[in-house]
Amino acid sequence: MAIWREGTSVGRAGDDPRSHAERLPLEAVALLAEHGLTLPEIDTFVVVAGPGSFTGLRVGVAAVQGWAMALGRSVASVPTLDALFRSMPTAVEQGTVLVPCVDGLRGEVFFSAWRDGVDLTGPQVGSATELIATVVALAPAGRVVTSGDGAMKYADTWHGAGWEVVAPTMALADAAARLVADGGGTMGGPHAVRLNYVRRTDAEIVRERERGGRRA
Amino acid sequence: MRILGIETSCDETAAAVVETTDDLARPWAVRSSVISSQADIHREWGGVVPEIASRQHVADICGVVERALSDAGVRAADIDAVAVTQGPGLVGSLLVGVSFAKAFAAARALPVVAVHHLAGHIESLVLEHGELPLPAVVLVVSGGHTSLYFVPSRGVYRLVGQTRDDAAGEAYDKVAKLLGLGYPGGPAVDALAETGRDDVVSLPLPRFTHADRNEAPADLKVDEFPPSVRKMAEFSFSGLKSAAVRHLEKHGPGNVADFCASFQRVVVGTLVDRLFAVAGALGAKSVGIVGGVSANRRLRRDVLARGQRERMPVFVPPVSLSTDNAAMIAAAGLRRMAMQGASPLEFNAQATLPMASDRS
Repeated sequence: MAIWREGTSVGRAGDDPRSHAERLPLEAVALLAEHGLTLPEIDTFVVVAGPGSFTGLRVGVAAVQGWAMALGRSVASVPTLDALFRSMPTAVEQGTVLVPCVDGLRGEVFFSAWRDGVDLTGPQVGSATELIATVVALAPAGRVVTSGDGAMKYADTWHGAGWEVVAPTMALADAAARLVADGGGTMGGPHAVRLNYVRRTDAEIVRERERGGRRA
Repeated sequence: MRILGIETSCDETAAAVVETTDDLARPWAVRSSVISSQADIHREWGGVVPEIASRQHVADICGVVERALSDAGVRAADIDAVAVTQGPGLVGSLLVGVSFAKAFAAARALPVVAVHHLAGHIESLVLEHGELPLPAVVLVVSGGHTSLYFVPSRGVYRLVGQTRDDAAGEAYDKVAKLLGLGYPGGPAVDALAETGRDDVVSLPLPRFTHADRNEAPADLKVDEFPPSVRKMAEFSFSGLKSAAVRHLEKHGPGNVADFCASFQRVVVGTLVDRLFAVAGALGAKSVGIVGGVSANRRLRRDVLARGQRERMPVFVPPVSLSTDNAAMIAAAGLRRMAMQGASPLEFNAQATLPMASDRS
């Protein structure tokens, strides 16, 4: 969670063993209280809208929708990988490929690849091997830097490919708030928030596989 | 007190506004009730796909709540409390409603109350008919539940027994699938059964020849009711389902309407017999049937006729309150608030929530 106020942001990363649904909304109320604020004093709610843990995303979005509907506020949604890119070191030489990388479980990661501030791939899901192949196809040589919990989880693989793994410079919520403060994200009513899961449901994946098998 | 109810336990996103009245006999009035059903989405899968249901809830919940407020002619600022289904149900679906409801309440510093889904179904009777003559025995019967509850006093729900295996609604869905009638199966089987003869196909009545080997549910206190009563309150539909499958494999459906009517005769007969047996054994002054299957036409006819014969008041909700809805959650929330106060904001969704927390 993070509070953006008058050009400064106070972010807090989550490391509590309790689930998101148990922690929200009390932790948000507590964070606001620490800064002398209450929920009705918030002008805009920002939410990270995927990809990521399906359940975690829904808990976050539903909570933000509840706040915004109760108070008649707007919601800005920010793609997870955009926010993570925003939290990566900016002092890199031109041509460096930056890869925000989120653990997608099941041996996969959600990722995108950026060069000189341009998102080259959009959000993707795939194995570490597929990610490396994607980046190599875009930038056969040169510096590659990756960050995020997917970067940390498969650090040995990235190092083996000659990539650098760096820690984010700020909490994801902090980065999302800064991005919106700078005019990024998608602003609208709470109804308008659309999650980007990137990965389809298992039912859809299995059905497509079966249909493909029949065609074969 | 004006409460916003939210229900997302399965494949319906629902919101409702319910108010308390000054009439002790009819304590609640529904101001609005909005249901967005996902049945059309899940039909192509032949049943509810949990992940798809969860995704749809988060897409629909704002519109449903906004419509419920609008239909009631109120704004968010006019709401005094929020009630939400905590469980049982699909946990991914429940989480959307729980997260939204807790946040909505926190934003306006309102009390929020966590509601057991089946308590909501039972209170749907009070929404429609006013307070029941108590004690009552209520059958909760749907695609996910077949349970008998003893209601000794207002807001107290004691599980007497439930299905050992499949819910009655599951058996309907299975038979409908075998007959190619689509999903959800209950309404399709019910409609066809209306035009068929119920004595054409011989299907077995569920009988128990051995003790239940399943672990007792957390909210079933085995010493609360005599074993003979608990046995009366047990259901099983897997054997009937298998018999229906074998019949169809061996003989084909024949006249589909006759098959549906025969199947329905066995299911409805079992439900009604056990409801009245338990009610008689526990000295109930009324009986009720709630849940999605309570919309079944034959079940309604048969239970009302049996009540007349046995001079037992029978209560069923209107069809609009039979399937999952948020008005019943709001009502159960008002009941629970009055008896136990609000819930702490830390509560979480629980897929297998026992009813114990709703006891006085």
